[in-house]
Amino acid sequence: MFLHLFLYRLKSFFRTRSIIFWTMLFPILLSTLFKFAFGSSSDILENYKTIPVGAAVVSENAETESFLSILKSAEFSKDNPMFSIKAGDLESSKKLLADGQIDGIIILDSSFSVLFSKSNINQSIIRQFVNRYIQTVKIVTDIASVSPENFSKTLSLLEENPAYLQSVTVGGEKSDPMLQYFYALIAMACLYGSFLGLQNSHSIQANLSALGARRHVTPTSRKLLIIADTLAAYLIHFLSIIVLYLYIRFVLQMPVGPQPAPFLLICLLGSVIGVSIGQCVGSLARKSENLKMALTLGFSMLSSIFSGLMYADIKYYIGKNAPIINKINPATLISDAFYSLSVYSDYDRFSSSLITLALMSAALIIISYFSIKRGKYASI
Amino acid sequence: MVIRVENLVKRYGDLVALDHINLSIRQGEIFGLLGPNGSGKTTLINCILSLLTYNKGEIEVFGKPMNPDTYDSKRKIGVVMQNVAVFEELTVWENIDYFCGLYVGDKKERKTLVEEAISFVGLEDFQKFYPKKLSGGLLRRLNIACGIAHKPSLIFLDEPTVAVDPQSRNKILEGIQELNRKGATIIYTSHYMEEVEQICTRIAIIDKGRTVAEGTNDELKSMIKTTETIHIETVDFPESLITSIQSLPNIYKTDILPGKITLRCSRGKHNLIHVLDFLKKHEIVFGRVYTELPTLNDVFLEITGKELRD
Repeated sequence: MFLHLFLYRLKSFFRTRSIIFWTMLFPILLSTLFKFAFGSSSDILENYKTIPVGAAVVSENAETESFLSILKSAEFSKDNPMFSIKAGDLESSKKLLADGQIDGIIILDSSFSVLFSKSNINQSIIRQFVNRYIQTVKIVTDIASVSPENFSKTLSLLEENPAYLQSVTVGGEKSDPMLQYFYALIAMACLYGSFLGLQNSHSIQANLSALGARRHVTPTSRKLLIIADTLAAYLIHFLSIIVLYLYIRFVLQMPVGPQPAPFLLICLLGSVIGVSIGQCVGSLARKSENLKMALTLGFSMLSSIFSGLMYADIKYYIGKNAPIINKINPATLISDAFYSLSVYSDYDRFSSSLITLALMSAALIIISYFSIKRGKYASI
Repeated sequence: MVIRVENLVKRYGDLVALDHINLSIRQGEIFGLLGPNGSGKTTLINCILSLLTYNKGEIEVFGKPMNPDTYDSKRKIGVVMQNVAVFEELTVWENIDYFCGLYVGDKKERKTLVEEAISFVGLEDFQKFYPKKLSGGLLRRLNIACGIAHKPSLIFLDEPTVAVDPQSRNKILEGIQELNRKGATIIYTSHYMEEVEQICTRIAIIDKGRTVAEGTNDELKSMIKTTETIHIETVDFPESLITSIQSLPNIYKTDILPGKITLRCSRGKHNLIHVLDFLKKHEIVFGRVYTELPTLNDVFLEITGKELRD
């Protein structure tokens, strides 16, 4: 009997287009858009192309020679030089700029000024590079004149660590800040399980649909009906999350879920929470199905936005000003659990998130079960 | 007694939907519940099926009090809801199989039952169709098939022919009679008196949550004064003759409408002859003259003062 109910419910969910769209296709579509929009910060440097730049020598001296050699040695990554230099006079450089053969001109005079015909990322890189050079030269000159005993030490520091700020991980794999968006997206997809939960509650309860009334008058126990429908919803939704995970990881090549087992455990709990939220909303008030759908969609979106789906820093802002929201927002808890797996080498923070999610799941399961399981109704 | 309802009261706030209603339904009957919209028919059915709570009274089905977990009784009951209750995402065959599976566990037995149910309602050509592809009549047939596939001994049909084409309606009514011949007790609710008159062996007329009359078709009609209604189409009937025609033997009520006169007659013979003689005597020009036997609507009208069709 259970298998009969379970398999038919699975079939019913698989054929419901709106559910397939919201739980499977829409998150895949959104993740694809995210990939195009954000990609990965580690990809950016490797994928950058060498910038053609003109070096217009106005006054030839040791400093300009030094600058030219630094310009030649700059690179985005190994074997990917930052600039391809076309040295010449100012007039020929301007001609090259007008023809579009170079993206900018560095005028090698006393001030190292720059000349562009348009403004985009390449021009910003050229400008930043020149400004950085000027600042470094000033630092070295000032140290040499003010504190010459520290001159060699300063040079060593500048050679070893040209970046004064460097991001480090406290453990685990390298953390890509863009991954936060994908984690928030997967959390949102988990909460979209509420659509299945909503449909379950409507098709079981006699006061919400004729189908619920018909199923109510059969000799099959309500407990069995509820369990079969709920497990079918969990399974369908968890499968759709797995598909999303595989798509993001292997098709979009984003390094999400480096440890698949605990990652998928969180996904499973997320599915349970999402479906249970839908069943709770569906069972608690006798309002139209469309209104309840709007409520669950609104809650899922708001929860996801607060977890950093649109703007990563919002989570930290909320954590600072209203921390209770982060503690109870299921999307934040889910995305935090994902993030902690990739950042921390131990499982302390992950375990803490896991326990909170498990407790939340259990509470929602109990509430939704008892709200659906009513025997009789005051009105239908 | 298959169903016994005693002193049932159901309130929705201040509205009394069922007002101390009593009902007894015997094995093998096709019992009709007739009443206008809002009279309490569906509420009564839902209370008997233990879907609704009620404020007072007792309900027994198959000799046992009816509760949500009286599974033994539920196993013998089939329900055809007023609203179509099927899964939109499952085909005709799958829907019937699903609902039959809630009663019958054995797969082989269920397959036979499903095929028989499909044949019974005439949906052989539509087995792989989805509900949204079916017409209203076919959808109603599917609805019925889902309710009776497991061959229940007690079947509730709540207005099963609403918005149904005449062909499907006839098929449904014939099917119900067939089920009864095979041994099922049927409770049939409707506000279409013609259907109830056609198939029901015993009828209860309900209005405002109360049983206003109960009995066979003939018993109900014998309760009222009217035994015959005579309709006369006439161009011009003088007002001076109204009193005279009303004083003819057995005529107790006269309705004068433009172009038509309706005369209601109580028990007696040769009423039509008396009327025709009267018209001839006074040289009244008339068209068609026809007579009607009393209907359940007449019963309802005489008891409650209003028409069944509201």
